[in-house]
Amino acid sequence: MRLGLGSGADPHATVAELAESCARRGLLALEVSTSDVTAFDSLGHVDDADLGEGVRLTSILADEAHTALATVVARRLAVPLVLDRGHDNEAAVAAASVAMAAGVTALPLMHGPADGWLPLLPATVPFAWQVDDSVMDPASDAERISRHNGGPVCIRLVGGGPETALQDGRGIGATLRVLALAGYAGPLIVTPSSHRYRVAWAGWLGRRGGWGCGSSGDRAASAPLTLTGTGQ
Amino acid sequence: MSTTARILDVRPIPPREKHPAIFDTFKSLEPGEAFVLVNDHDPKPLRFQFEYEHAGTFGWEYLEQGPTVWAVQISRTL
Amino acid sequence: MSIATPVDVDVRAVEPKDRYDRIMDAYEALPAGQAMRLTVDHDPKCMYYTLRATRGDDSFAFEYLEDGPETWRVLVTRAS
Repeated sequence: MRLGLGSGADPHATVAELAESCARRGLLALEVSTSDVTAFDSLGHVDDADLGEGVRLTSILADEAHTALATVVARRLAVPLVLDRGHDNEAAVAAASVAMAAGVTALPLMHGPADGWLPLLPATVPFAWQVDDSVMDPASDAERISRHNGGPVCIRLVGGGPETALQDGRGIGATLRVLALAGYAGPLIVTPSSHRYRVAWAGWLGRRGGWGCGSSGDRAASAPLTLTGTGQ
Repeated sequence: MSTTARILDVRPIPPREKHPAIFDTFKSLEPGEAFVLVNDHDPKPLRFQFEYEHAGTFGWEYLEQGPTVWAVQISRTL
Repeated sequence: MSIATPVDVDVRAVEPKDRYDRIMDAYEALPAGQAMRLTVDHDPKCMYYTLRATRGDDSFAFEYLEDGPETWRVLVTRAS
């Protein structure tokens, strides 16, 4: 597994700024979402998935409205396109099929318990997996998913980063154990679960910045870099 | 038998689940097999825990030693 | 002579990568015979093993005041 970052962690950053943040945190993979306009638009200045300092653009995440445009960019950069249709997994599979015909590696992003969507994936169809609150038993799902069609090509972990301590009890540790033993070698993209944690993510990425003229980014260090589960 | 590297990056694992994930991964290995532990600091205390709880049955080889990422290949020898 | 109040060392809000140094620095700063009260969000037995291996069995005491399931508090006393 290669721990990586989703562009939602810093919604107003360019790809170059995101890649710097990745390098700073030792993250090797970057996913750019069409929802993060600054990052997605800045892909126009990117010629190669290799972003420097060991950081690689590993996928473009596209919602329905931007799939056509994202397909063009994904094809140019030769990176996989991840089709996000929320919990409409059937729509994601259908959209991936269309994008594949356009010459990109298209991965439907599967949401929710595996029982609900494994039957939707024809044999040999590659897919991406989102681990979030809607997945009740991610470790058990990881066992089944790893045996299906060669396992997921890409995994999104909602939470992680500075929210890691808040994920206690969800089985993330057991899930990563299953993935490690199965030899999962793809990206593991962490991304915020909510806008309310944006300050924590900014601090975690080392991009606190200032709040106005003359303010010191260091003085903004009142927010903890790690969110605790104790409500502090 | 899989020849793919087993990589366990513990950075996104919550504190209480981290060591159980590491030791459960280790215990799932067959003798001769290994996994790579990835973390954002030198896992020295973990090594001491291995030495007390799994003495003589593990191998520990640093593949990367910072400054940002540490990677250790932990193997099961017996 | 009374024993000083234990130094409180709560690392729950400290990033995992910085915790080892924070704990060991606090331990090193303890005068002989004094203690720190370590608060962590997981069982700190790896710190017990670390102290045992690097300082020796007899150089410290490690007493659990609280043993989970969410919070662990340990009184770590540096022997003379």
